[in-house]
Amino acid sequence: MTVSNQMMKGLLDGAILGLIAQGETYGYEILEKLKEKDFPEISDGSIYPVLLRLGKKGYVSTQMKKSDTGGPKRKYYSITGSGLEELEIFRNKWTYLNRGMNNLMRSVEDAE
Amino acid sequence: MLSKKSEKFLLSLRIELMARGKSDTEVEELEEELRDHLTEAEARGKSVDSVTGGSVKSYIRSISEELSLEPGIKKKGVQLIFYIFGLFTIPSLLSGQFELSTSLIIYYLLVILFMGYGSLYVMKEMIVKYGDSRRTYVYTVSYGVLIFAGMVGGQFIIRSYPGLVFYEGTPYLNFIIGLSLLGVFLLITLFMKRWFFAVLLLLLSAPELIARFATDGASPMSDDYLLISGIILILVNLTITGILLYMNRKEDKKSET
Repeated sequence: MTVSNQMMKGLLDGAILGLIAQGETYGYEILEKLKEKDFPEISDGSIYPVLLRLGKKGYVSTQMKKSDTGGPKRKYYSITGSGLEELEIFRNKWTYLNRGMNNLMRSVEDAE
Repeated sequence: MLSKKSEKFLLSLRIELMARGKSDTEVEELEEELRDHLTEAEARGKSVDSVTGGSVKSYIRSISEELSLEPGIKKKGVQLIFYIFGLFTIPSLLSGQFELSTSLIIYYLLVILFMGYGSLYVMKEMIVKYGDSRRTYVYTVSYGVLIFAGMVGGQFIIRSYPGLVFYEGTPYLNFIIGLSLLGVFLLITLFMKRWFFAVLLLLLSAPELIARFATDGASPMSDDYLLISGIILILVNLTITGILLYMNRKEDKKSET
């Protein structure tokens, strides 16, 4: 896996956790919201391994609900206490990383 | 209603993940979730490729890493080998003609490899490749027929070329050992609530047991013994087929609700 792919994988976990923190939601809605926010390089299926990972770590809880329209059952995600803690850690790290990377990339541009 | 391509993808996903020993509950939940996603995606004019990114295999691999293994899968695997061993050995011991030789050991290993692992592999590959189609059934049944023919041929080879013989008991001793093992296996299978294996073992042992008692201990090569065990064997086959059909229908009804 390339460095940029690894970076995207890590960021997607934080982004999805951030979306679930805004209220109970489900897979397709998460994807739509990510696209609305212009989250880059996202394919429809890539969110499900992340959701499984977040569930395993106990950051999100899930509930299966019957569909109102007679379609298949839908799995809804909510954030847990440990998920909120992890999100806070992610946000702090992201703020520092973002600042540091911007400074670094500016210096790269200056050198060019 | 999902498109055929999406249904095939979901089926491939389920089979592949189950073949990798992933937890049934997790696989079912994931399938439901992807079904919901695909229903919504197709309603908006997207195809299954939007989920898999074009490669079903690599998507399954990526999602498989996040799923847990079915609890106790290794233990179940060892148990299955133990049951298969019982199913093959006990009826043979009861007939009094059991002989432990190098050919028999090789035969058992090949049966486990081709009938156990091989059947699962062929079925999985066919379903992944052709989905729930006639071709899948034809290839899988053909493989089954081939294995059955191989097993029958194998029995002839064992009798003609036994190789090194480690154990050769008298018919009476074999019968006593077989009867004791039958008791032990039945107790274990019933204790572990493996009803299917208990019934299967009883049915497979029935031709030898009934023929022996009905002929008052006549030789397994005598006409009466062969006739009775042959008739019971046919009845057993019909019963096993009936049980499998009943279980299949029950499973279908369960998945419909």
